[in-house]
Amino acid sequence: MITRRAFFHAAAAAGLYSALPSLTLAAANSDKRLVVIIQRGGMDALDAIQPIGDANYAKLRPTLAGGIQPSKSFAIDNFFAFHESLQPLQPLFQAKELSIIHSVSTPYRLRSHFEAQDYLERGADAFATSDSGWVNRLITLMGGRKINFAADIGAGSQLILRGPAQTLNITTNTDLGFWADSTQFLDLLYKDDKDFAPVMAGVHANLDEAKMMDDHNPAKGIEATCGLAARMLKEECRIAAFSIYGWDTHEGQQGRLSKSLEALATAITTLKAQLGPVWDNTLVIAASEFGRTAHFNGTGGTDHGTGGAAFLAGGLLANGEGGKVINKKWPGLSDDKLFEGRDLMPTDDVRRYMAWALADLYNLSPNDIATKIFPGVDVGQRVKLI
Amino acid sequence: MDDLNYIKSFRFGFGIPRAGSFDPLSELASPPQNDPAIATELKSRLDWLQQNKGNDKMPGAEKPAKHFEPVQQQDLHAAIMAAIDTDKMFTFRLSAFWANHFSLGITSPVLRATAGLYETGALRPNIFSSFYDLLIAAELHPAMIHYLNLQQSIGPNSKAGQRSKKGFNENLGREILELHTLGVDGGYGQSDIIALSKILTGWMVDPHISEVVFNPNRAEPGSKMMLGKSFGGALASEQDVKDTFRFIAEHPSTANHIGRKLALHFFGPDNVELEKALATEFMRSKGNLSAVYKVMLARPESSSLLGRQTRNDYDFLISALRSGSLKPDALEPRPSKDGSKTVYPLTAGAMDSLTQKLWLAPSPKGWSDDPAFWLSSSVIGARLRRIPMIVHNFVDEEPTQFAQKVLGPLLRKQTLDTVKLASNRQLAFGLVLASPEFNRR
Repeated sequence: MITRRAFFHAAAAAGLYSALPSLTLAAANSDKRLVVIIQRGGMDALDAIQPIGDANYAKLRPTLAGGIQPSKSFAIDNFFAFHESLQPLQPLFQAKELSIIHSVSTPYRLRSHFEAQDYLERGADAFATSDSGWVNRLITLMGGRKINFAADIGAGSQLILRGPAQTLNITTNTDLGFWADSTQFLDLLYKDDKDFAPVMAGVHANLDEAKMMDDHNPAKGIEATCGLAARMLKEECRIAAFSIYGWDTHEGQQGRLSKSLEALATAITTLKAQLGPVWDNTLVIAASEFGRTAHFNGTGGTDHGTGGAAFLAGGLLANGEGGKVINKKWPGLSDDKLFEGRDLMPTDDVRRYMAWALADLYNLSPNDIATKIFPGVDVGQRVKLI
Repeated sequence: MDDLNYIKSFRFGFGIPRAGSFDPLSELASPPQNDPAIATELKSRLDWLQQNKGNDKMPGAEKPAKHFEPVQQQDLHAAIMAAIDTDKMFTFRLSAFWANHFSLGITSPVLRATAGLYETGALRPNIFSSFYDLLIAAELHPAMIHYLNLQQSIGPNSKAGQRSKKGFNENLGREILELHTLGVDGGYGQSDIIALSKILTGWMVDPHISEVVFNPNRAEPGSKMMLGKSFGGALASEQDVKDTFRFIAEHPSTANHIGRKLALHFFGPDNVELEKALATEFMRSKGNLSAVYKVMLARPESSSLLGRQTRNDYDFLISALRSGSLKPDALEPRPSKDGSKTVYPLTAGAMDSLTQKLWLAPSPKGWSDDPAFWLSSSVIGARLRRIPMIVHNFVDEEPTQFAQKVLGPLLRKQTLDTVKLASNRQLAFGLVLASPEFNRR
């Protein structure tokens, strides 16, 4: 069996992929792994991680006509409680392998999903980043240190990984029909095309994956995605990114949010289980484009808001701020404390935490991060997260 | 067929026409007609949902999502068959463009039941009309009303709102302004979103008759200020939404937004002159879509070389299925291996196996028209996986002739050389469909 590792080496040696510099690296010399999960749709942070210690919380989320009521939850410290669907993450929280950063957001304030997601994926506004994603620029910044490539898992390519550095885009669907024995024809067909030549790296990776999957009973959905991410990360890949959908809860929030939180919990627990010992060298960042309105809207849900929350997970957190709800300053929930009278007030830039985590993860200077990864971020006082 | 015709047929159609030459302009003279059978079918599906709405909680009863699974596959099959057969390629391309502009997503069984009747029943008959007509058809369709949560939205000061203590949400109001009309930089703010959300209250699918109605008892009373203009009076009326839609449909920001999106879809990024020309005609004609298409077709860019845009999965699949001579029963539905259901391997099944789920995008923004999105290895990989099944159903022909017929002047030497090396015909056909030039437009 040709392994993925052997393929990359062979491809590099044959000069087939001279257009793909990051794939020619022999070995990664950082053993740290990063997983970025984008929670698309805008997670209601006040329902996921409930500030039950704030007396105004119960007023914001009363039991409404029609049986709409606050979600069930369990306390995790003397102020916050997890939504019941996050139960599978409780052991990680207790083991200091999970933390929440609460009442944060990017500097974006206008509540459009798509602009807000673009901001989160670019790491800044479009003017500062010329349309590349922050993970892609991170790979470039790591280039000299031989951090290897990143994998974008799932449908299409995500902005967060787009840019000049080579990334690999693969899926959990692996049956390649007659191409399996004829990839040399595709290599030939695509070799002079700047867009299609890089695609072949992913095709070859999927072929490897198909061979590996022969021995597996393939999982489905988010478990399959995380299983694939874990396999990639255990080899030469150092960064993986994928999305979880279903956070846009304008109505029927009770049922919809539960499903999405269950998916997030499954993603994190699957990564831990599949990564095995590598989990101890892993940092997972899960973030959404914005939070939602503090009050319920008129239809048993919440509308687009501002302040939200991000999740950090991984064995590395045990050395730092694991097992905490990190919060610079609790903004309060009375109407006068809400952003524009409606949303949870962000008290900090979520990128500041990501910046310090990346600095520690890959020994990068905060200044490089503030100019190249998250342009314009004020990294402020050091936060030792990992 | 001459070179210019190849370029036009890739840009505005699904590749080479069935016969003769391709003349997109001629299609404007015979716009698609409204088919009353689709409205009847829609009503009967909504009736079924209403009659069986308790099934999810009733043990042994057929779940609505399950009931509409085969229906959804049939809709998809019918849509793809129609696109394969049509001699009106430009009409079908435009129709798909608008269905993606006013995108749906699968959030509930209602969407599964109605999405397949939305493009053909509501949008396509209006794509040569005014943008206002198209906007009304899209926003007040049962599928959209359910998808972006207008169905539950109630004016808090309406009779029903006062009685039930319920209110409205901002979902449809926001996406109309951001995605469907003015565009994200179109000059609106949070208060405009709230005003439009209130104006929209009252419109719903009446569960008793399975039709979209304006219910004044649920509509927020009082005038609303939106974009500096007042809409509605003390009593809300169904005219309020129409006045509002008329205003935003003919707004300069909408003209710019639609000009940009049409140019991006048919020509690729960075066509500023073209975008401006389309926006100008949109404004001049008050959103007369046929007039805008005429300007687009007459632009010098129309005959310029291809390659700056990438075919999306729908264009790819339809073009692939139209490119070869299919064996007689290739597109026929067949029983699944275990006999439990009907499958459509080359039509609905093929579409589902690709990245793009037709009519149902992951978000209201619809599927991307950014060429980079379609050039990822997961998207191309999914096409590669389906190509063997497609070419397996092609009638044999000489491979280099096939390549020349399908790609004409676009055929690269590299592709022709690779096709000549192929060890069998199916692989050769597959290489043509996999080639960069077949996947671009």
